[in-house]
Amino acid sequence: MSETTITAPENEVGKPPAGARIPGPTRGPGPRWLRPVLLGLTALVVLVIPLYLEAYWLQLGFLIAALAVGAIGLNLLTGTTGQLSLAHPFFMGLGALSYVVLAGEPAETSLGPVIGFNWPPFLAMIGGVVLAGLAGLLFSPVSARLRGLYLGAASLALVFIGLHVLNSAQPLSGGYNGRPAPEFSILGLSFGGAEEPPVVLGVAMGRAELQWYLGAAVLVLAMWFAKNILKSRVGRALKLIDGDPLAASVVGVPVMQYKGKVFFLSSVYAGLAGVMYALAIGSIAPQSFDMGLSLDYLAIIVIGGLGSVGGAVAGAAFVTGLPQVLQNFAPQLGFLDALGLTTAHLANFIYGAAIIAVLLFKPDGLAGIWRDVASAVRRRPNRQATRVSPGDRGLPGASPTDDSADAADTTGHGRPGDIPGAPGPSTATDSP
Amino acid sequence: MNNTILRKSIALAAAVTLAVGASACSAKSEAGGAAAGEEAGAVKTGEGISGNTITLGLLGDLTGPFAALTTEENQGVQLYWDQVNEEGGVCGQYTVDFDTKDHAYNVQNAVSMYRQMTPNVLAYQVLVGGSHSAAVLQNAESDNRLMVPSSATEHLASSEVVLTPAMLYNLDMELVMEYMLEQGVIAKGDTVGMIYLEGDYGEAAHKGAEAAAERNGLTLVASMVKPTDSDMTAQVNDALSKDASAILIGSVPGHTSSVATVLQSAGADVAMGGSWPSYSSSLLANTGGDYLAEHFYAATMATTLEQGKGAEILKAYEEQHGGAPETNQVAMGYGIAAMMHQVLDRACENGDLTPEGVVQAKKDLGTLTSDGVMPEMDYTRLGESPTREAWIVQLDKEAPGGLKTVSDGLYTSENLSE
Amino acid sequence: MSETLITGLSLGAVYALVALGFVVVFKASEVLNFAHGSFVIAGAYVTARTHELLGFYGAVLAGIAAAAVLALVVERLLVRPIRDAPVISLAIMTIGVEVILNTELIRRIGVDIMPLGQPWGADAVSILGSNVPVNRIVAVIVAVIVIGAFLLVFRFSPWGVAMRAAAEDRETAELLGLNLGRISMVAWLIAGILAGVAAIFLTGAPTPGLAPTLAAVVLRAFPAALIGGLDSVPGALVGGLIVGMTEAYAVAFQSELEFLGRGIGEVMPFLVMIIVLVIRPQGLFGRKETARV
Repeated sequence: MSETTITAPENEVGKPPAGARIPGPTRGPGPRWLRPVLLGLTALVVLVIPLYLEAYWLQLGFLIAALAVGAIGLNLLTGTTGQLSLAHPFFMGLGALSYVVLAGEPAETSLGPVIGFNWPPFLAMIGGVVLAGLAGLLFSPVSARLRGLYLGAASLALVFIGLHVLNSAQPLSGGYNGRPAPEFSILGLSFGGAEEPPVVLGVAMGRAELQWYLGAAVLVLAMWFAKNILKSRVGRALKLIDGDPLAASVVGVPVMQYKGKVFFLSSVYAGLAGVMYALAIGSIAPQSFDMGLSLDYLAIIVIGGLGSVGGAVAGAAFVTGLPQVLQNFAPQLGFLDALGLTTAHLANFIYGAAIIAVLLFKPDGLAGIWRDVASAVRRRPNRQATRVSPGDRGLPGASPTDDSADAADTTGHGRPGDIPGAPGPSTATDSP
Repeated sequence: MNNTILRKSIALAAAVTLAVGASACSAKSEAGGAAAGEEAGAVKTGEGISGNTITLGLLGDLTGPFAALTTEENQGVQLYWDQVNEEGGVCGQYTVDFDTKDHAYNVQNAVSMYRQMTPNVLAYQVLVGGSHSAAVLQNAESDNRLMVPSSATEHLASSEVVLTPAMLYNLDMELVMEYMLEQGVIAKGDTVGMIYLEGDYGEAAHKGAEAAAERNGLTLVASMVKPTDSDMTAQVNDALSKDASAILIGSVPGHTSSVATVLQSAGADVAMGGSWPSYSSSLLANTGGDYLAEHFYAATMATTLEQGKGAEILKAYEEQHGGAPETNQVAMGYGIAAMMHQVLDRACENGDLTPEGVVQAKKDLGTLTSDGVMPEMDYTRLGESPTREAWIVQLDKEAPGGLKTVSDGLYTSENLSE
Repeated sequence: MSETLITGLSLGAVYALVALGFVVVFKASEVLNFAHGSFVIAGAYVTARTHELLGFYGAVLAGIAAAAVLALVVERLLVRPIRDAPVISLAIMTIGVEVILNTELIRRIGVDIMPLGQPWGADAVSILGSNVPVNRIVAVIVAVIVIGAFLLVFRFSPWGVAMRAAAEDRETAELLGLNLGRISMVAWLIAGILAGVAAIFLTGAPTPGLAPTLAAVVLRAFPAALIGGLDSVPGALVGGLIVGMTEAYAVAFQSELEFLGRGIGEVMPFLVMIIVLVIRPQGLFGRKETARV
């Protein structure tokens, strides 16, 4: 119990500046009970929301989930590894196009026949992800050779090539106006057009409700996978490549190979995001995959916090939700009319300003703000008790003053990473 | 994440879900039932009408490249319905109100906003953007929402829920060419250049030009361009080097302007003909504006403002806004509002003002008129052009809205393709 | 075919002006400046707005000044405070700037195409039997003068020498007492001026005037800078010419290229860029990284 006195000064001295903090395997901030409670609450809210919210908001949620999945992938590449990429719309477009072609039916349109393979939607979704991944693999030798900024520029070329293909390959893409995306269905559960949708607690599980759950499930998987990658050796190697590629290669990280791999991984994420995006919009049109989307993505990961998985999700919600929410408050924003502005203008201003503000004042974005808030919540009870136990395993019922819990854990389970505010183990290994 | 935490979270979540779910279940499901099947008098109403107010959707682009078009079209719509509301509204009972939203020329936004607006609107009076209309078309069909797009593609015209407000692009191009032939601006056997936009609008215009060229023994030299191209030199020079006597444009106004600039700087005296989306009167102020005023012919689907019904609209507009509009989109908005009015009146007569009833009324009527603001529109044959006539216009700095009619009333040609 | 050659050359000259703006800024401050396009549009906008009041040449000066001041403000207020941030953050910062500036400028331009009032208008002269707009000829002449002047400054002025030293090795340059802040400031100023000059010709005949699509046109200078090498001044010239020529010939041979899909012309500069970068990741004239891993 004597170590409790040590931790207090460590809190002040050992605390790295917020901006320098490397997200990853360090245990999340906040009191130990905070995490399960928050996770539980979040899961709860996600589960019950479809019982209350209108279809429109659920569909917006699914759209956000689609972009969040893509943003997590881009964040692995750009945020963690330091490789700037603008090519996400290309891989998303490829995933979406593959899904629509694989799951679609052959049809005659006013511009000519379109091809379709009538696959079950779930297989088509996997097909879309695989094809986007393959394209990423093909491009990864190029991406591995290029330094961060040059990759950014080269990847912009992919966006233009993608648009050109979507516009020209009419038998596949439906051409300029695109073609409808077949409704998703899984295990006999159709997401659209079911005659009698299943009813849960009096609410019919229609397209919007089911999409909401699909979005939540995919997003959770995507987050879980990314978090595990970041925690693993690979994740630490990627961060090292960002910080100092030379040092990385000196300590034996195959830099080129890893850069290629992470590019592949991010294109897989983008492909999945593309399939969801097509489902969310209900059709694919070339205009949905233009350079504006590249910029949106960079805004998402910067505003959310570079390198942070949760931040990517928060950023996606901010950037995607903002124009829609503002439009809904248009009557309250009457002053805009007098200035000759629309809510779309305002949304653009806010989002441009958010990018700038984050980079100037809070380089770790929304994720950083969250960490600050959480550690403020945690520090308060600590100060009152002027002690903290490094071994506390986060039992919701165990308060820091619970002597028996402390006693049980003072036998050497404490790891340096568990000391609040101290640099985690990853920080130690990352700066050789 | 460690397993204990995970298990606890799940258990906690499950417990609270059950509690909340059981106590507060179906807040949504109850609300859903009330709206449908509301009866007001003898008329059956549903979504899109509350009390005696009909809400129509105006989903356009107030921020992007079609901001001016949308704004003036909306103003025309407003102008018409203000008058109707003052005179007692739809079948003397319902006043019309609007839900106006801005998709900023973004397809994904358009779809999101469509979904948000649909439960509250009876029909879409305005839906700007070809791809945007195409993207919501499937939904509109299953939701039974009648919509008036700003685009006249065969794809849209094939749907039962769409009121294409204009001649299809291929016939439109043919009509302009026939007029130019009739006036002797181009002659049989000539070579004619063409610039058309990628996408179905430009390609349809190109198809029309090919048909008219074949019919009249013209040689067509065509190049496709993208919306982001801004310099038409290469394409125009290509046509000029083959002695073209006219250049046709199935593209955006910027390209029309660039063609005129190139022709003017080459000292050429070559006529120009354009599709109805290829011009706007603001082009007169640019380099090449004088050339356009002299050489450019196009068709318009809504009357110009210096003649007939157009003059009345102009007067009403000036009273409300204190100045002349910049384009004649106001007349277009006025015309499509008049057509919608006819449909709603019929639905009311049928005793069914639900969205389904509105679509049914459109089918019953078949042919819609708009008080001379637009030609008579026949919607009975899906996938075909609703009209085969239009006014032929030239740009004119002096005329209100920048356009003057040069044909003798509505113009048509019996040579047009079937 | 001389026609295509001349079109390509004159387009290339203007692209070189814009690409040079990218390069100068990158060399001095390691920023890949996505906001450069908005500087061009801002310059064009101010010129278009003031030409009736100030006369064309006065308006040109106003436009150039506006673009230069804008660049300077962005550098001082936004880029400078985070100059030690990772290069990616710096690039993304300029995206934020671009979003705001473009939204506002495009809103102001509206759907109208704004004339800049070039006195040569749509005039053309006949060269080797083909009609060339005077605008294009003036563009080539001005580009040659401006780029020449820049090269002289870059080679002989104290600022140029300091900047080259700084680009070579920032730490040593700082140790030697070179003022990196000043170097970066002047670089942004020059980029702004180049943007203002390019604006005049990008909006002149045969283009109808300032339209919102100008942003897309400016974007084509981006592959130009990359092809030449982001840190190479001569590279910007060569890259600009390559992109100009590629574009002109892609349009001229568009029917022969139709098997690649119609409208491939717009994609061509980007294809050329990818090919160049695959072969030489640092661009044609770019400096190789010292530590290859």
